[in-house]
Amino acid sequence: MRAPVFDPVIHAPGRLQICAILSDVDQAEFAMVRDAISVSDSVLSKHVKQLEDAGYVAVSKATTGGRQRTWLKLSVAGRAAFRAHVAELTRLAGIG
Amino acid sequence: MTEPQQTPAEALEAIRQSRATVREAVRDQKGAARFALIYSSIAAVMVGGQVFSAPFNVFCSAGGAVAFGLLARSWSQRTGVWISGVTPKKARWVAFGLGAVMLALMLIAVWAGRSGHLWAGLPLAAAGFGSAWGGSALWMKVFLAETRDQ
Repeated sequence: MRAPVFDPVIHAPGRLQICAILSDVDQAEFAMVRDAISVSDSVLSKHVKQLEDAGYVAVSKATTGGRQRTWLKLSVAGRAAFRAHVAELTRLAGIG
Repeated sequence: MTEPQQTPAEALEAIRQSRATVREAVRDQKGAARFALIYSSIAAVMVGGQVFSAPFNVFCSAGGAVAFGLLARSWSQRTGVWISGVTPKKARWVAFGLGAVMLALMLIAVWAGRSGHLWAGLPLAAAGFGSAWGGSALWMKVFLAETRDQ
């Protein structure tokens, strides 16, 4: 069990949702995440940039069928920080 | 960028809802049966093909590996997510178990082929098909339960 740590980078609503989606998969496509959290490309890009700058998310691009797709992946540090943040939220909410 | 504050309870609810969208994407009701059929058929060819001598057995295993890769890529492009199968802690043991069963069936097929029991390829292929079908269904069930409970 990871020690609860509140992470202000992750806590912002959009970034929290991005991390939640990425925590369950190896990688998720930019468009899938955008549609899942109902934001524009530019808003998602800003959130991803902040997570990338914090070392929590890695971005890669791949061309398949003549179309370039952007894939997002939670880094090891990102997974650890997200787990710790969820633990802290759970503690603050008085759950568990 | 405006970043409204949210209470811990609201944040946990947002996490739960986000994870639900992943489960919906992975479940992919429309393509699930077709995926299982193709996946299990590839596994059957990989297992059953091992009764033959080289290069046919190598063709079956190498061709099957390539087919698995293409199937996984097609699935990830359709769903927008890539899951290796070993990321979730509990679901990974289902993946490892299925891999072990497939390996065992392939080794039995190799032994049967070398012993001259080529007929064994058919029932072993059927066992590979059934194991892959059941294993993938079990993996999906464990994955969905695990991501729902987190």
